[in-house]
Amino acid sequence: MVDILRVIHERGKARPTHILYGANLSHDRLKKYLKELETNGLIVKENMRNYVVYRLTSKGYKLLKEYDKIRKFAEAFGIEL
Amino acid sequence: MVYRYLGLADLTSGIIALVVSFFAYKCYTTINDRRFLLLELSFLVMGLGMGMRGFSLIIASKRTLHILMTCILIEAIARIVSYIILAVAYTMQLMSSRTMLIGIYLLRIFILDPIVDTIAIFLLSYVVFNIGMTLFKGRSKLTLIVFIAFFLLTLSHMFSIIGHYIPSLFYVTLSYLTQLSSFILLLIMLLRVG
Repeated sequence: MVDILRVIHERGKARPTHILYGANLSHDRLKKYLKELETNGLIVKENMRNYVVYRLTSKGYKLLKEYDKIRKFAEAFGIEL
Repeated sequence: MVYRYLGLADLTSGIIALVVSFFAYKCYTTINDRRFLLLELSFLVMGLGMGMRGFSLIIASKRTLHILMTCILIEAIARIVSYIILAVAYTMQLMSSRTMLIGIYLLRIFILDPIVDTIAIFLLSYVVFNIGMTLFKGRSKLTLIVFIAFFLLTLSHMFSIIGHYIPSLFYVTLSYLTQLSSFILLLIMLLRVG
């Protein structure tokens, strides 16, 4: 799920296809995770003309930052996430 | 008078250990990985032990001698328990009650022996070796800082052993200062993490 947040963050806003390839997920898993992230208020869905895009919310951005700190901390102690 | 400064060094190291423990706890609550819980427990026990010994050294007098002796004993137990937990974390196993019982049993055998430092060196060497392997793979600066910190902690126990056999305050002071440097490095790591 963090990979999904990272892909969206890197692109600013991302279409499901981009997230699918960026996070290396199956279609079913992607759908499940996107719904979960949306329910938890970490991402928002925006309907464009012919497609949808996802954007990070401030809560999602905060979580991504927090996870980055955890990753660095774990790396320092030689813990692989 | 020197003991008050050593106590202050101990107290500072203890506070830093508690900060590391708090950060590990935050990591555990965020991603629910038990290895962080073990890290948190290890530094919590270590920090409380050092804090108590530091405080008892600061207030040390003839009247409080029994408190000092108790705190030194508690710190020795806490130190070994924390290193055992740390070693368990690095074997990536879940801490079972059986592991803890074995740890406590071993402590009952060894705690009254000055060989406590030797056990600490053995456990820390295991941790240093594990971090060293990660460092060899990844070459990250943060891992290097933690590697040096744990290496210094091992060194502090070596100086402590020398202090047992050569009755000189020099080695005791060196042991405390190496320990303090080790925890300052951990603090630097935390600051770099953010």
